[in-house]
Formats: sequence, structure tokens, C-alpha cells
Amino acid sequence: MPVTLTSLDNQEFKVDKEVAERSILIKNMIEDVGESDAPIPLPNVSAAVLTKVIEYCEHHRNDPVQVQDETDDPRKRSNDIEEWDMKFMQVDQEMLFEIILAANYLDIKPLLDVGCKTVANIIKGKTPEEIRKAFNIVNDFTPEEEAQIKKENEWAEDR
Amino acid sequence: MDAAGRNSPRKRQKNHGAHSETQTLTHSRLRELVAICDHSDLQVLQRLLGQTTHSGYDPVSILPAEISHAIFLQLEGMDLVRCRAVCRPWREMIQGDGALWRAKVLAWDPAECSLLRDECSHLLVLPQEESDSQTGEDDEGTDVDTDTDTDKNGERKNHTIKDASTAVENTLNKIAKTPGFRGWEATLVRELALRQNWYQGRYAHEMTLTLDRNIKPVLLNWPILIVVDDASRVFFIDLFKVRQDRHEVIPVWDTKYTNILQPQSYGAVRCVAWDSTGYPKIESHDRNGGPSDDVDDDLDEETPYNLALGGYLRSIQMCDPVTGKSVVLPEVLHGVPLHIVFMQDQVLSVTLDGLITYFRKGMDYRPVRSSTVDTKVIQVAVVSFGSGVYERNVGGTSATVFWKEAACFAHEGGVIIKDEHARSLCRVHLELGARLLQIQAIVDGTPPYRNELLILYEEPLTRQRVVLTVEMEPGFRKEKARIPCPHTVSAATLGRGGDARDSIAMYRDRIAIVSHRNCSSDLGHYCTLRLIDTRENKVLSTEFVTKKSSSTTSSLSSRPGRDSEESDVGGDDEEEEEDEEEEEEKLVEEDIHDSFAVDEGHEGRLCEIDESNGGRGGKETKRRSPSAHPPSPHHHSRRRKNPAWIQRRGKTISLSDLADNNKAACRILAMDHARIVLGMGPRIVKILCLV
Repeated sequence: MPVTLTSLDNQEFKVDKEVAERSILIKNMIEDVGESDAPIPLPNVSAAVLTKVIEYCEHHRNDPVQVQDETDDPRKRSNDIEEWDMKFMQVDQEMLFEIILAANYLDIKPLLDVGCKTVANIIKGKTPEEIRKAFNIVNDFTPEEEAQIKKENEWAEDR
Repeated sequence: MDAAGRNSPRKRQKNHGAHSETQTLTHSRLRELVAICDHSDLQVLQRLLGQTTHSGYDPVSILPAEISHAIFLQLEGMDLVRCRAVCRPWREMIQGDGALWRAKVLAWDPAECSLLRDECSHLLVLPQEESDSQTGEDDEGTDVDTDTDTDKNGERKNHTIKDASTAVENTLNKIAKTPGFRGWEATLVRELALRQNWYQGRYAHEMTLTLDRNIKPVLLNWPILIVVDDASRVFFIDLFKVRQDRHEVIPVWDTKYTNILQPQSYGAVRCVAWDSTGYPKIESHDRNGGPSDDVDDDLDEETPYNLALGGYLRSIQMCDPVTGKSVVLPEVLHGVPLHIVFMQDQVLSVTLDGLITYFRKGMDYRPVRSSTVDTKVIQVAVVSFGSGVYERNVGGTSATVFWKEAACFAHEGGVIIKDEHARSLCRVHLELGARLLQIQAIVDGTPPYRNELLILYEEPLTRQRVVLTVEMEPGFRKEKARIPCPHTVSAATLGRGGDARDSIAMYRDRIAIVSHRNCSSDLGHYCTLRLIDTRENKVLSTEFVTKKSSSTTSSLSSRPGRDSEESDVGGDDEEEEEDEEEEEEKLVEEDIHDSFAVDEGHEGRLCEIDESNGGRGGKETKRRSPSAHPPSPHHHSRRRKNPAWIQRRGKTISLSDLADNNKAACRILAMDHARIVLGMGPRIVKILCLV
């Protein structure tokens, strides 16, 4: 049975229940409300982002449900992203963060993970200046602070 | 699109016109709007504002805290350090996130959390070592002649692999509660800085110590530096205090920092050893520092002395540097003690002519047994095997054997491994066919587990210095081969050896070499300190996998890793290496034709593992190393093309300025993971702190 989702800008999306239930938020909603034809409003997600999220959920519809592992052991942390996910995440930065926020809101943990990893990969191996450039961040340290930090990080600069 | 374009200016104009009247109204409405917004709405608003004004729109810092935490959790420590320097919101996010740094420290190899250990060394006592104190009550006689001490084993706390990782966590938690602890972030940053400094060949701090007499053995057991001079005064210097008070020159005669002990009726001290196998240290009230009058009869049996001094009087003196109490070990009538090593239950001394005597720790230090290696021992290292309980088949009936340590005696041509009972359990001879320089045992009871013996030797033909990693395995595979099955794992070359004045020290995977060169008469003599982290190699090269002798990795698949390593070789022996490379290139081509397993190459070099049935009076069958014979072409080529041979020379620190007039006498006296103690001339000691 398909589920209707309504985005922020009132666009309707018809998706399979199985796909929609990748989102724990929607899953819980359906469980609470019971079977009904009423569209589910998602006031925090725009149509463009929802399209992407649905694309992700469609692709991962048959994935086994992730065991809720809250311990997130740093020892077995992996940095690798699946190839499809990697391609999927090749979007502009604004969209990337929108997807992360949407995944957080909709409670789609694997998508959130992939998003975080993608951002982490952008940061990885960059100097502070390069990071600022990558995210269009303004350096708001005072010159004194800057000097202090520079001294502090002296050893970390060359490698 | 067009309509919108036309629309907006008009709208703006209108707004502008109505500006004065509506301003207050709009403001209050906005305020109302903000008031009804929840957290996520505000984030959206913040983001929209950022996008509209285009002033420093920072997508990361406006994310909910748990998402930014998740992002930072993906990053390595080094990246976090750099992220701290991006902007204020990032800095606050990262520095305020204690859980993040904690997770990073926990992910660190616990054995490598060396600075943490410095600060709280008394907490990091492994469970297996804590249980030792009970052995003092056992009857010594029983264990000399029997193979089994089954009863004792039952009581032993099994130091199992399973709970080791939780043990690490517990220890780290304990550390966090220790007063001296300065936070996870500070710890990790220091740890990273240390690693980087090893890699870069930099040191952060330098301390000098000058004595009025010539310096004899030196021992570094952070924060205590033990220096013995030729008047047999023993100086215990608290380097931590010295460093805290920012002294560049160590105030040797200041009792605040130094405790001087003068062992009575004692000649020149030849060797010093410190017991770090983990006895609970008892705070002492009297700090007399002077010589003790006589051997105390009412010593605390549970706390044996933790300092041993070996001298020319053919004896070893055990001291407690805090109380100044001491006891002279029953005379070793056979020769001058050259090495003293602490094992868990025993003290082991090796004399000049290779006689080994074991003394039981605690009580009266009675000699338990002795044996000989018949050669001059240059170094002794101890490997341990966890709980030390093994099944063994004796004459058809299986028995449990207690065996947890083995001593490795390095001599010029190889290593002899003997178990702690020095009789039947193992007697292994590793013949190198090369000049052995140093050995180092690495025993980690915590994940990732390591039980390795690193052997640093110099190739006789190429004069390359090579580090060979031998994996030690506890227990008995079968009755015949009762050995701690050494597997040759990998080797890395460190570049060409220097002359006889070179001195080398090893600490875990780190190697420091002081080398001397006489360039030409006008340039004069110069000496450099080279820092090498063989572990770093492993980190950098993904292909550098630990190979057991059972694995059959083909050399071809492993080649790229080695290539990439070689590409960043620099330094003065370039020609030498190029030759090597060309040769290797050729050899690999050969390899395509004969597809041999690579790892066998080393097995061959290491030669025969020789099991002797000491218990049954079996005869030792020593075999010469293959390199003593003309090596077969196959054998030779196989050795040379091992992909794990990495050319990496480490960065150098020039010591010429430091050493002033004493360049020729520059040598390494001691080192640990973060400090290198150099002898500059006969009476000056310099300590380089890498962090």
C-alpha cells in the first residue's frame, strides 16, 4: 500500500510503505495512526530534498534494518562509503546539509551516517584555511587568538 | 521567473516607503515569531539568514550538536586538531565535546598511550602482575626440579584476552579520575604531537645534567632518571619536577629534585635495572638518601626492592631508592654481573662470560638456578605469555605447566630464548648470520595484541641495518617443539650502518641512532641523531601486512606498498639505495618465473629453531645459519625481494651544536617513547624531550 508524503511546499509524493518506513519517524507515525489514506505532512523537508531522500530509500529498500547500536564503538568505525551512496552524495553543499538535516528529522540513521561521513571526508586532511574555504567560513579569531592557535598547532602543520 | 524579477523591486520600494510606521510592528512580530519557533525551526531560520546575507554561512556549526558530534567522530585526531583552528564556533564545538576526545583516546592502541601512562603509571598495572606478590610464600625448592606447579596455577588470575579491552577502558576511567589528569583533549593532542615529532625528528625541550665524575650506567624510568657515576653514587633525579619548574640545567645537588644514594662497600656499578613489573609502591616517610647500615631482616616481603645495581664485586645490590635500604644478593661467584633483568618472580643476572643466575624476588633473594649461554650477552629482554598456563604431555599423561615468561638473550650472532625455569620448556636459538645490534620485546596484553621480538641487526654484506620482527607464540604446539614458536613476520631496513661509534637504542617500535661521520678535514666531525618509528611505516603502507609463515602472499601483489615507501626516501646514502632498488627490480622479475611464497625467505635466514629436550638430557643441535654457507641463488633472491623491506631512514637531529667539544663521545644512554638521554662526553648528559 502506497503512502503519501507531503513536503514543505505542499508537493505530494506517493511511495511504497516499505520505502517510507526506512524513516523511523514515518514508521512510528504509521504505527500510531494506523492504516489511513491521509497524507503524512513533512513540514521540515522541501520537495527537492524529499525527492533525494526517497531516491535513497528506494535504493536501500531491501537493506536489513540496522540494529540499533548506540554504543558506536570507535574501534570498529569505518570510513568507507558504498559506491552508490558516494555517487548519491555528489550534490552541492547546501543540498548535502539539507539531506543530513532531513535524515536527522526523518530518523534515517544510515543516510545520516553517510551524510556525516561525506562531510568528514571533505574536512579530512585539510588545513584550517582549506576547511574555511571549503565551507565558506569566516575566520573570526582575533589576531592574538590566531597567533596563540598557530603556536599551539605548530607541530601539526607539516607532515 | 521574469515576473518575480519585476516583482521584487516594487515590493522593496513599498517596504521602504512604509518603513517608519511598520518598523516597530515588524520587529515585535518577528520577536513573536522567534518565540514560537522550536529548536529545529530556529536552525532553519538561522540557515536562511545565513544564506540571504552570505556572511559566513557555516553549515556545520548550525547543525544540531549530535550531528556535528557524529561528523567529528569520523575524523582522525590530527584532523580534529586542525578543525579546532578553523573558527570560534568550531573550536567551541570541538573543545567542549569531551565524549568526542574520549572516544578518540579509546580508539588509540592502549599500549601506545604512552603519555597517559607516564602521568598515571601506578594505575596501569596489569592484573597478571598484581598477582605476583603471593609467590613469595611458596616454597622455592619445589619448583627447581619439577616441571609443574599446578597448584599455583589455579590461584592465578587468568589474564585473558577477552576482558582485556574492558580492562583498558576501566584503566582509562581510573586515569580520568586521577588528579594529575588534564583532560582527554590535552592527552590526545600531546600524544599526537609526540608522534608527529618522532616522525619529523624534532624535540620540544632539552635538559642538561653535568656531574663532576664520569658517568657510568644511566637508566630512564620516567619520571625518574637514574644516573650512576664512577664514584658509585646513584642519583635519582625527578625529571618531572625539573621540567615543571622549567630548569634547563638539572640541579643535581638540589635535594628537591635529586636523591643521592651511595651504596656501601661497593665498587664501580656496571649495570642498573629497575623493576617495573608492578609492585605497589609504598609511600615512605624517611627520605634519608644515605647508605643503609646493614641488611634489614624485617623487610617487607611483599615489596621487594625495585632497583638493582650490579658491580665488579661479583654481586648485585638491591636497593629501595626511597628508603635507601639495600640488600646484597648472595654472591654470584662466577663473574662480573653484566646485565640484570627483572622478571615477574625472579631477578636474573648475566655475567660477562654468559652465566645466567636466577634469584627469587623478595625475601632473601636466594639464587634459584643457573645456566649458561657460553657467549657474551649484549642484551636481555623478557617476553611474557599471558596467564602462563599450558597443557603439556609428559610421558603419556598431560600435565599443566606453569610458564609465563621467557628471557631472550641477545648475543652478537643471534638470540637465545630460555624459559624462566631455564631447563626443559624451551631453549631456542635464533642464528642470524649477521651482527645483532639490539633486541626489543614488545608484549601487549591489550588489543591489538602483540607479542613480538624486534631484532635489529646489520647485514654483513650490504651493511644495511634491518629490523626483524619475530612473532612470539606462547605454549606448546606439540610435544616435540616445545618452543615459543617464533614466526618471522616482517623486516624493515633502516639504511646503512655506520661505524663502531654509533649507538642505538630501541623503545618499542621506535629506534634512535646516533651516528658519527668524519666527512673531510675541513668539515670535521659531525654527529646526528636519527629517529625512526618503524610503526609509522606500517601505518603509512597499507600493504605492510603482518605475515605469518603460514600465509602465502605473493610478492607481486605486495609490491606497490613497498614502492610507495621507497618513493619518499631521502638522505645521503641515495646511491646505495638505488643500487639496491635496481637489484630488487631484477629479482622481482625473476620471481615471476618462480612463484615462491615470499615469507619463506626469512624463515630460511633465521635458520634452525633448535629444540632441546633439556628435561630428558637431549643434546643441543646447533646449526649454522644459511648465510654462513654459500647461499643458494634461490634462497638469496627470495630474501631480497621481500616486499616488507622498507627503505626509510627517519629524520635527523643534528647533534653537532649540542655536543660542542664532545662530539666524538656522543652516545645514547637511554631512551623511552618521548625522551632520549644522550651522553655528551664523559660527564654531561642531555635529555631531549620530544613533547
